[in-house]
Amino acid sequence: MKRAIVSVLTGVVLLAGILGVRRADPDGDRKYEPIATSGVMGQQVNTTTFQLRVDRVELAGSVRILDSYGLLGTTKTTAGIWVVVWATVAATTEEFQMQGARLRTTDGVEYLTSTVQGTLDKTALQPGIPAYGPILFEIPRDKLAGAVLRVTRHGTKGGLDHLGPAVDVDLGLSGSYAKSLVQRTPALLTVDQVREL
Amino acid sequence: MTTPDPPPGRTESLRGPIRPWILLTAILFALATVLALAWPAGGLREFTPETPHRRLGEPITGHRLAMKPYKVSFLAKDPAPSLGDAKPGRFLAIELEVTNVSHQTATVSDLALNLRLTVSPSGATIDRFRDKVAGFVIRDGRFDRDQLQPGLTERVMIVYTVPVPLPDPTHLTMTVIDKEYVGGFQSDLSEWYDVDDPLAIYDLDVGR
Repeated sequence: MKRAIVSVLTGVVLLAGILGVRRADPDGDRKYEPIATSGVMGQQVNTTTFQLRVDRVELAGSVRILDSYGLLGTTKTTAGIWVVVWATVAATTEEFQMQGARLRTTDGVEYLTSTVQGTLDKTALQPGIPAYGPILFEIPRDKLAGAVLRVTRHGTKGGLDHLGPAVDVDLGLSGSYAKSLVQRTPALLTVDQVREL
Repeated sequence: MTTPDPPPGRTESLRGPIRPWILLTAILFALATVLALAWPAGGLREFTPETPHRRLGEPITGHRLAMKPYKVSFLAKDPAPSLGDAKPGRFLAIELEVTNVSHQTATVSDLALNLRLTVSPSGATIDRFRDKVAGFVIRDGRFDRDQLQPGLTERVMIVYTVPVPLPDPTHLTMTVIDKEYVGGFQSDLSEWYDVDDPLAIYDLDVGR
């Protein structure tokens, strides 16, 4: 009888151990997520594929793009607010396009960059020729505080960026600062074109 | 070289009859396992999947999108000519109010992929790939935006061509398939996969 009790207890301990190891094991999304380098506004962040510096952030109720001929595009409205992130990006070793630019809010939600044309994320960059320009996001008005810019090479989540380079930039949008920015949001912002530096 | 004989006492205990407590424990364990698996799934009642039916203006919420169709129209003119060129033909336009309730950006194309359409009186299916001619967010009088950002409610129009042999549709049955962001069968990396049971079936009259 004593041996049976010891056997059952051993089985229970082993089963608990297996469950514990299973729980401690990170899921596939965490195992293979891009390898991110962190930075803050105004700081250059380097990866093996690209270099990025976020220069400033603006908000707007609607935007229009000024193209390379000096012509104004159509006005684009939004159900939330436009967040315009101005950044300087350079490819390091090969052509690079920043398709995977996302704004990640404190609740873990990710807003992929807008499909509006003429922005920095739609520009193919050649190595050694940095470019400065806007990246546009649409988010709800109450989600701005604490938002972080995440940049990867690809826009889809289908595995193309697994274990690839990524950059996370804290945009410095504390609660009170974000609130004051939202309150002072202009109804219309004319967004300048991308410039090679 | 021969294998030594096992001690006589040990042979007896291994080959003897199963002791009652072992049998009882095994039966209780089997019963407990069945109950532990069946109870959270609704017990041992017969499972009958019931897809809710909805009408125009009634909302539904899935794992990725919440939606409320507010207008279905049959049109003899292309309502969303791309690059200014109206396509010839007859069109079915569905207008919906859509909110992305997930944690990632979605598109009108993602929504359209999860609608199964059957029109009456023909009873024919509208092909979601071949017959779809446009899908866009209704904003700024243009047809070039299709992103649905989390938490932002948008008005959306999806346009289909009505194939030539079919009579003009008067009624539309729209089955909505839900998506769930989970690990797949072959890989534990998460993706949006169809949920087995439809989210809802809309019974909609087609206006002119």
